[in-house]
Amino acid sequence: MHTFSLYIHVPFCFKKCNYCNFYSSTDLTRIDDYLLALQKEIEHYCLLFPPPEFILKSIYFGGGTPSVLQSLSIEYILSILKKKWNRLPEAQISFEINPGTVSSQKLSDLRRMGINRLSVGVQSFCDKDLLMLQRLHSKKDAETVIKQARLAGFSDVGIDLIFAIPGQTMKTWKSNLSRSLSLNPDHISVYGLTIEEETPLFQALRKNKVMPCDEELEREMYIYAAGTLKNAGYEHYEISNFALPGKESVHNQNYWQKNPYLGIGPAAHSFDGLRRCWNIADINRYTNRLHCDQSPLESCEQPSTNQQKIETIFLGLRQKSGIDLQRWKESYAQDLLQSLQPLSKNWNGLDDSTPPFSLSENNRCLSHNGNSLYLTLNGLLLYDTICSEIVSFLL
Amino acid sequence: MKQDKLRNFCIIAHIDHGKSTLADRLLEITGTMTKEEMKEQILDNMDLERERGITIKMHAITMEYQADDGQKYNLNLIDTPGHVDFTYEVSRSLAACEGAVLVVDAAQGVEAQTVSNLYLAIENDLEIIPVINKIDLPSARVEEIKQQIIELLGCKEEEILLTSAKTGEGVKSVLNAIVNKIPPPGGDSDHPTRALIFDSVFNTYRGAIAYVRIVEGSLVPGEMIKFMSTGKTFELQEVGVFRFGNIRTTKLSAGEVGYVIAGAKDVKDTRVGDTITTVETPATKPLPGYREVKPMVFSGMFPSDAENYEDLRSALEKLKLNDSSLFYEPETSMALGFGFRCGFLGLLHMEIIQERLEREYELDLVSTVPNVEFHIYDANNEMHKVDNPADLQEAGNIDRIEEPYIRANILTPSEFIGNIMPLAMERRGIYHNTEYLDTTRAVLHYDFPLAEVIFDFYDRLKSLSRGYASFDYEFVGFRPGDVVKLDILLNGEKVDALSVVVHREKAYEWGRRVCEKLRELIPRQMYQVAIQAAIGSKVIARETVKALRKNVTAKCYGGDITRKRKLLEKQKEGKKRMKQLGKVQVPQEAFLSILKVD
Ligand SMILES: Nc1nc2c(ncn2[C@@H]2O[C@H](COP(=O)(O)OP(=O)(O)O)[C@@H](O)[C@H]2O)c(=O)[nH]1
Repeated sequence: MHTFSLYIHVPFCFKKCNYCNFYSSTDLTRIDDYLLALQKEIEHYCLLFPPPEFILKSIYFGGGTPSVLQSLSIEYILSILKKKWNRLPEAQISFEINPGTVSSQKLSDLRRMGINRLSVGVQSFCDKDLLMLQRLHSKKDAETVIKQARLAGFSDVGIDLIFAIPGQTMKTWKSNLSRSLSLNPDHISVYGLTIEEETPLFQALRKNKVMPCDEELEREMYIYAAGTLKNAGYEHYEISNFALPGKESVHNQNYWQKNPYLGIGPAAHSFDGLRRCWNIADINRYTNRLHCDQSPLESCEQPSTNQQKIETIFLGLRQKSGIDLQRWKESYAQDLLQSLQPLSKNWNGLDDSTPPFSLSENNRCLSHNGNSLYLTLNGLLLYDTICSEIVSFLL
Repeated sequence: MKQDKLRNFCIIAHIDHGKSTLADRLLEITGTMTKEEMKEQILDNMDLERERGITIKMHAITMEYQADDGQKYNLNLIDTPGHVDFTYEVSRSLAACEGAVLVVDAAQGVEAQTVSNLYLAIENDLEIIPVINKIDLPSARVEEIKQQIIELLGCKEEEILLTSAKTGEGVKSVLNAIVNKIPPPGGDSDHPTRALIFDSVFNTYRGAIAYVRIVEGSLVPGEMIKFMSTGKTFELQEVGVFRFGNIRTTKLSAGEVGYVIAGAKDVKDTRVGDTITTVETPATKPLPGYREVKPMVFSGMFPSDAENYEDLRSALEKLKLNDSSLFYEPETSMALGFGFRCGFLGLLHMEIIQERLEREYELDLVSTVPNVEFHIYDANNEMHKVDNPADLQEAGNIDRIEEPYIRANILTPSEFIGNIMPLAMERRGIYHNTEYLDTTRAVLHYDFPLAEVIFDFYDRLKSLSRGYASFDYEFVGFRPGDVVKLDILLNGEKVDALSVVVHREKAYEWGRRVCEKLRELIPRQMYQVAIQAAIGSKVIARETVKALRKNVTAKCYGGDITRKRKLLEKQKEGKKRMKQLGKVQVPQEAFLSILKVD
């Protein structure tokens, strides 16, 4: 018997956010077609995870904006899934919602059909920030939806926050965090705004219509969030994620720990433990394929040993648990600490006293405890660079 | 063949005026080559040469031609290289001839190379046959160009031939003029032998093959011959003449042009301009004009991947077999590792070698800013040659420095003189005089420090004259120069590969620009990077690359692990092109783009 996680990509939005480059469409008339195709994919094409030896340990509705789907449709999807795979009793079933798009009725529906975790795309409790991000909701909507979720019976509610928004100040960020804490969420994700190319915000930045957040300020915001949330009892278990004990995202951890998962819907990615596969990223081509009884897979590849190492490095370093040194040695016959010694001078040496994700006194970025190699808080701020240097050096 | 039925000539022209096309036509009309064979364009057969429209290596070919008098003549066409860097080789080819066909483009008119090649031809006492080519062009300005030529040559109007190498019109008149105007070679076959080497090529099976003009005496296989500049002797194995391919013969006599194979392993033994004589009855004096070819422009060349060092060495060895003017010796740079300091005749020569290394030998190279050779005199007035800025000792024990100068002819429509003079001044040009070829065209005569023209001078000249000005030069000697060594420091450490020797007045500008350029190119890293330009211990320019404070994109793209992995793989490839200098990572482009400081 094996367990796996399931991701359902709902590629629709009421409106596209100006900083988002995920695959989604605002043409809601395509939803019915999409649902039909999705059903077909579940029933005929999830060949990597044949029941009954595979059992679900988590389900995640992500997007896009999954709450564009009507309760009936969601319930229908869940029932098809139920027919196909068994679930662990404690399976985490998560659903992403955006404030202002769900009624309390809908929340009760979701809870009733077995969804036990909500992830709320709050982003900010400051209307100026929300305007900058061109979100459809106001700070009031955010507060309301969280309260309603509790009333509907959700005992596991997470919120997403974005910092380093153009125009955001330390003051608004602090108040964002305290407002968040006052709502007692079980889980908080904080993302530094990454302004991706090919987004409207990027264009605005290029034309100097918008000033990017100052780098030092962004650093401070992150460090402040890490400290504040820690003091409030949240564990910083992943680079962007904080949770009350036992409320970590089972689903996301599954990605980072290289456990198997299945992604369905356009652009969804799957991993069967060996191969990484992904579906066509275009709704029309995705639905057409399935209507013609063809697999919606775009491509599959099996990472080489070196590619596996790269994955282990960048997935490991985003987690507080770090890279398991013993397992590295067993898998790749290499002493990772020793191999990295020459490189570590670039980051003021390897530390062996700073706990994971804490500030290092002497500005060291990497640290270890004998069992695992992990980043310090200083290192987290340079995560991309450090991964890149390690990968370039090691492979 | 009797001497009076021989004609030795060459074609001289500014680039693109139609030298190769006219040569093709001559070969075709005399039946030396069929149209099919022509496709192989043997006069101009290296890819690179063809692409750039220049002739680097010269060759020779003999045409048989029945003239109007009913007699058969052997016309030896000796090809000449078409670029300023090869002036000496051109002059030796010309020395092997009695006449030259001077080709001028009917639309472009006289240009710098026309003038400088003509001077060389006149120095060698050649009979000049002026030809206006491309008369088929609608833009042809035949009357005007005629006046330019008359002004230049002092010839009569009716002596100027009109051709279209494209259509073939007038080409026969060129052949007749070659027979009728160019004197047959003199020289007595019974005198002690003196043969002028005007070219040499390397052949994998035969070794060095010398292309010669027998000036006096003769060469017969089996006898011992001597190269007069080196004193080396060899047994003459084979002689022959040029047809479509080489044809072995039993003897080469005075006046003839042919090839000589004597088992020399290396083109170093068959030096252009050297004289071959026989051991048994040696000539007392070599032919005049021999000069040892010395590199003028130097640059460090390093494999971007240290593993390719041996490949680079063997590629240079191979190129050197055929190119005695290429110089190289191992060089070690702290910044760039193991490589070679290479010497070239000029910038074009350098570019050609670099391109051949990259293209034919598939090497990825980093090369340093080219520099000239300096003569350093110490307190005891002893001279030290320095061809690498890194080797220039700190001031103190230097009494004075001398740098190479060139004499340049800049030919330009007179309307651009006002643009060109400031450029010449900026490049420390010493003005001599202006000669007017006609009312609209002038030749500016200047001396320049070679260092000032080895980069971007030609491009600037072209853009200041909307492409009309042309430029040619020859080396005139070493003269005192107020130059200083300028170092570039990264976090206080000298980067040897970025040191340059520049004129004192230009050091500030250079230093400032290089620092700015480096600031743009060096990616932000964990530490702040201080970039400084310094003369000795005096810092004259400074820039800073701020330390990287934050670099994290932690958004989670669903289960899309592949995306981040691919990004890291790409970055890893990019890092291969980084050089680690102390703690600082510098992209290779930094070393290359210093060349383009504008
Ligand atoms: N119209 C025209 N074009 C010509 C003539 N002779 C040469 N060309 C062209 O001019 C260009 C340069 O000729 P080429 O023989 O390569 O010049 P080179 O650099 O002096 O050897 C080529 O594109 C030729 O085709 C001619 O008589 N008439």
